[in-house]
Amino acid sequence: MKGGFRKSMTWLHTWSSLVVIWVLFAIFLTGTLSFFRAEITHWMTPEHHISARTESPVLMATNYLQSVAPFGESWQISLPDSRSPVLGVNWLAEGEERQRRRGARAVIDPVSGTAIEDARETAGGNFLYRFHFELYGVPRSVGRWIVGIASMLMFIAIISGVIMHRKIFADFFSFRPGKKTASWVDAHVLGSVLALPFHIMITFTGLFLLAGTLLFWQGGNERGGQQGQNANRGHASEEQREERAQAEKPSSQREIVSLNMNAIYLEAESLLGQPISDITISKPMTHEAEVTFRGSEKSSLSHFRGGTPEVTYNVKGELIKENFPAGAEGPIATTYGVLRSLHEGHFADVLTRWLLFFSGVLGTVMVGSGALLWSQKRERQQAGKPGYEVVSALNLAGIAGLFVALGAYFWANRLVPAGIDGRADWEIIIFFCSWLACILHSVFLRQRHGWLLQLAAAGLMFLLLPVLDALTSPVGLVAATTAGDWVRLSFDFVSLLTAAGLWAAAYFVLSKGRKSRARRNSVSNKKGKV
Amino acid sequence: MTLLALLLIILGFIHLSASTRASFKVFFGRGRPQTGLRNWLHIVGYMYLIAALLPCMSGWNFQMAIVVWLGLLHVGAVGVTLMLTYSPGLVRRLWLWGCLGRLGKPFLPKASN
Repeated sequence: MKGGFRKSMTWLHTWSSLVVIWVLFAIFLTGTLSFFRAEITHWMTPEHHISARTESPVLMATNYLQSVAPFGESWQISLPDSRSPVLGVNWLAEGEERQRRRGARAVIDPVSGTAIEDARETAGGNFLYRFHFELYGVPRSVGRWIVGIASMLMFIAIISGVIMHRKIFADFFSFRPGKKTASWVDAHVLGSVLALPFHIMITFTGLFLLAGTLLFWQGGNERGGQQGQNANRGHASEEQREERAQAEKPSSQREIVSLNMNAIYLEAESLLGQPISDITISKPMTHEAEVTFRGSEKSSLSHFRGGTPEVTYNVKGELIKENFPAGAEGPIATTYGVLRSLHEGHFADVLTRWLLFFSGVLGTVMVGSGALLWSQKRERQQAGKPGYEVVSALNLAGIAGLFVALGAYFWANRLVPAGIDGRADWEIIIFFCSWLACILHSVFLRQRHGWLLQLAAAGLMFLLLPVLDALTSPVGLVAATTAGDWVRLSFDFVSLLTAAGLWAAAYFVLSKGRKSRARRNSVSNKKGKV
Repeated sequence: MTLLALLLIILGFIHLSASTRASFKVFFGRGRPQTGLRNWLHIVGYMYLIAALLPCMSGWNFQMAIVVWLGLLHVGAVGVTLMLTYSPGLVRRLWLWGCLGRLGKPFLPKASN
């Protein structure tokens, strides 16, 4: 670490990121996908695809609820929205206490008006989401430590990277393809400098969310970062519990009272001034029934959960309560809420979610190109040395291999039979088995052929995913277009884009190999002539 | 609104890129940016970027507008960089049609090079 300040920063940047770079790549990639967690789960539950875009969903849901739980304690209807285009209902049967789970749940088939049964059990987007902050197969706290340490090193890498970059403004817009190391440097800088605000935000907030786990001396707190959240939730639910206790005074006898839902719905929508995402009906079909409509847009960044406006009507259709939250209470709750919702994109509408996704892709490009840059720079001097070979094998398995594993995960979702026990686990097992296969493969074939093979395999899987989707879902892609199931179609579109990217990378590896072989041939020819 | 904001951001970044040595040639044929011109392009470029906040504000509330604006900045910067590499003709056309910074050039004192 001799030399000037900038030189020592370069050393720090290189080594602090290299030790965890493959973990960081996996975190960035799965984390980026987690912005679309609900959407991925929708794609991965093909049985629900027929529920997309129901006409008159409120009527259909209430009819269904009347048939299954006419005197239930409460009903809840989640209307189709931009993230999950299915019509779902939950209910609590008579005398049932509200537990942690929301009671029975069903997704409604718009054709028959009954529940869709035998929907496959899937790990869905939740697996990717959980994997990106607590890994898998290790105890939660250990996984969170590893991710926390990795993100701390990432933060160090960001800061030292900014310092070591000599011409941050002069090179701001430059990308020079076809120039070997310089091109990799440019790609790395393109991914990092242009999205620097996002990287700082996502790393800092990520660290903040894991802070509880990393401060290990607080002792015995396995859930770490969730403590604050639980405290918040506990606070909120206590109030709710009191309210509920008041509401649950011995009720008068039951008699069927029907509500004019449509009229109230329209009024609530105009009052909220935004689409309604949820309807809760307590004590349905009695004189004490109350209907609460919840909007879909948050009023402020400081809420990570809740924060959407609500209006409540009684059985006569009179407005009895309205709640338009302005922001979280108190500076600490506000800070926590803002940092958390920035990281998790709770506030995001469709456009913002795509913007976050795009920035996440840039982050993935940054980490991936950084890893490749390390070996590109040292190829001449160090090829054949154990350290270099370990890094290049891990690069292959960590980057191309992860894409193969993801492709296999989505394929497994459609090909593993729907009814078998522990189905969700099978998807995860297949994910890790294919990743393991890639790791073994890259131990033996870590050069050009290894890259070609894994990139092509992943490219093929992602290219054919839309075909697989069309074949194994009860709703064809054309029908999905007419029904407006954009969530599913976007998934297929992004999968095609991913395939294009992977094939482009494979083509790059192929042409680079040809060039170097041609050069080697010309050099040996010259030698022969001499 | 989003497209308007994105367009303004792209034009803003084109101003900023015109002021760097690497891409100066795309816009002015030859030479390197002089201090006066560079400062002028910076000012106009930043004005464009700030102006892009207005359409964001009209579509979202203040907090969200900032987030959307920052997200669009990322998209715009990457877009301009890729355009400069793969389609400099398009950038030049945008510069001729949409960039007010060009108009200020004749009025700037010419420093001897």
